[in-house]
Amino acid sequence: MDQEQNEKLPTGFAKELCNIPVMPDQAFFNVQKTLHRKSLISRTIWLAAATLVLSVGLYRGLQPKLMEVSSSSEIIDELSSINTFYNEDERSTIADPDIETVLYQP
Amino acid sequence: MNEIDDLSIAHAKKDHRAFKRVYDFYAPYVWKIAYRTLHGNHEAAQEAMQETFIRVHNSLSKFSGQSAFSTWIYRIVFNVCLTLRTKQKKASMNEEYNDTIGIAKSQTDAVDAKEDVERILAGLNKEERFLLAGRELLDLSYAELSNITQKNEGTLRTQLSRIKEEIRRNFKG
Repeated sequence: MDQEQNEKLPTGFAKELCNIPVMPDQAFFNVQKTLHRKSLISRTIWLAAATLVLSVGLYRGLQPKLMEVSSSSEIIDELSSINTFYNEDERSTIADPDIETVLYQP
Repeated sequence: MNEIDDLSIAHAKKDHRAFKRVYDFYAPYVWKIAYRTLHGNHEAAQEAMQETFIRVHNSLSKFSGQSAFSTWIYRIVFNVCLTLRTKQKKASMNEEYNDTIGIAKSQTDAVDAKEDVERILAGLNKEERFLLAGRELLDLSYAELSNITQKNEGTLRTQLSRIKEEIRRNFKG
């Protein structure tokens, strides 16, 4: 009994403690809005991460091919330099005074 | 305390209507306890309620059913209220308090009582206000309060008894 009596608050205090204003109407709307925004942000982050992973994967997958392409272009460069050398060589051959002498000698 | 049906809880994560049912069921209790714990600051209580339901939504999959769903929600409210930054709170509380005094000077005993209650509650910390509100407004048992605050029942009984004793001593209304 004493314990129960000790538990009790003064009536005026208990009454005032229970006097709480009505819950705001738009509270659920705010919760919904925040949840929606958070889900949008998390989706965007996932999308960005997925794009990054895909790009890296794609780059790594294509890198050997790119190397091949670069090797081919090296071969082409090599070939064209040989070609240039050959042309120069040809010109120098033509310009050789001995040959000219041989060719134009009456 | 009554609990909402398990089906609504199970579907609340993915089904918007189920989540709304959970919200409609528990929001009035969450509002009451947050409002009192945050010492009558309307904005802070609203923020706490919002944060609570966002956490509820995000953690629904972690609810194991070991305690009642309401106890689980109150534990979230308790944590949210304790960690909520209340810078704004003090300003608006003072405004409210000054308004109250303004009315009190010109009006009735009821306002005196309100002022007295505000003064006494201001002397308690958040945890003490939560315990008082949980016990007096939501009729939570000591076992539930112990589950929420992670303190043992004996400690809570002593703490609440001390709080009430202090209220009885200081309340003049």
